[in-house]
Amino acid sequence: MSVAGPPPLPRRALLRARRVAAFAAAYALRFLRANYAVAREIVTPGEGLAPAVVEVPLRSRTRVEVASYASLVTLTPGTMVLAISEDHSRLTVHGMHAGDLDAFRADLRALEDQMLSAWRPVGSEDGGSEDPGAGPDLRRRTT
Amino acid sequence: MILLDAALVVLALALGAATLRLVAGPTDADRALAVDLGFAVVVAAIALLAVRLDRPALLDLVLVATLVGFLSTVAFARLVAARSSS
Amino acid sequence: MTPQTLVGDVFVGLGVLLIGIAAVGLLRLPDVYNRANAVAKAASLGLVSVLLGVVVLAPSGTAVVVLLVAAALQLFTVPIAGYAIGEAAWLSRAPLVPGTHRDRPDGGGGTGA
Repeated sequence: MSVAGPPPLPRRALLRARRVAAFAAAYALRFLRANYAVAREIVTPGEGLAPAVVEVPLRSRTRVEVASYASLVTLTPGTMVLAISEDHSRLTVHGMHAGDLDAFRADLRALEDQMLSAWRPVGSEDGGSEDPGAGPDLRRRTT
Repeated sequence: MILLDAALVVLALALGAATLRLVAGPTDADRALAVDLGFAVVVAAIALLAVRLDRPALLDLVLVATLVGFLSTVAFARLVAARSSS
Repeated sequence: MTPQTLVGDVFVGLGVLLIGIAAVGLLRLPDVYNRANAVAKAASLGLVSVLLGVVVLAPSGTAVVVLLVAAALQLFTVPIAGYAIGEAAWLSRAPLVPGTHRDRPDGGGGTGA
C-alpha cells in the first residue's frame, strides 16, 4: 500500500498514525458541534433555518475514499449527501445551515482535505486534484 | 430507576411522533424516515429495558438489531426511489 | 447513588433527550431533507449515547463487548440508511422548502448525470 516516499517506514507509520488520530479528533469535535447546532435549531422557535443544496467537486478518487467521504458527510447532522454523480466526480449535498454557500463549500472541502491527508499514504500528498498514487482512477472504471 | 422510567416515557412519545409522521407523510421518503427513527427508538428502549428489568440477555437483541436494522430502511428507500423513477 | 450510576444516568439522559428532540424535529421541520438530518442525529449520537450509558450501568464483561460492538455498528450503518433516504427523496423529487438556496436552479431532482 505504501507508495514511494522519502521518509523511512517507521517514521512514515508514525506520521500517518498521528494524522489519523488528528483527523479522528477533529471529526469527533465537528460531529458533536453539528449535533448541538441541529438540536438547538429544533428546540428554538422561529426559523433559523438556511437550507441549501449544492454540488461540490470530489477530490476523492478511489471507491474507498468516495464512500468514506460520503459517509462522513451524511453522518454529520446538518449535512446530507443526496446524490453521487455517475462518474464519481461530483457530490450533491444538502445542508441545513448554509446561508453562505461559499462558506458551506469551503467547509466541506476542508473536511475532505483533512480526510484525504489521513487516508492516503504519507508522501503521496501534493495538494493537486489528480493523485496517481492514490489508487485506480474511478473515471476509467468499467461499469 | 426513576430516570429510566422517565426515559422510557420519552421514548414512547418519540415513537408516537414517528407514527404520526408515518401516517401523515407527505412523501414516501418521509415515511421511510419515520420508520428509521422508530427503529432507533425501539433499539434504545430495548437497551434501557435490559437495565430496568435486569435481563442482560436483551442486549443481544440490541446487537442483532443494529446489525440488520438499517437494511429495512435501505430496502424501503430503494423501493421509493425505484417506484418514482419508473 | 454511586458515581457509576450517575455517569450512566447522564449518558442515558443525554441520549434520550437527543432522541426526543429529533422526534420533535421530525414533526416540526419543514421538508424531508431537514427532517432526515434530525433523524440522523437521533440514530447516531442519541442511540450511541444511550448504549454507552447502558455500558456503564450494566457492566458485565459480555454486555460491555456486545454494546460497544453495537454502538460501532450503529455509527457505520447510520450514513448508509441516511444516504439511501436522501437519494430516494432526491430521485423522487421530494419538494424542497421554499427559500432553499440552490446553485443549479434547473437541476431539481435526478442525478443530472
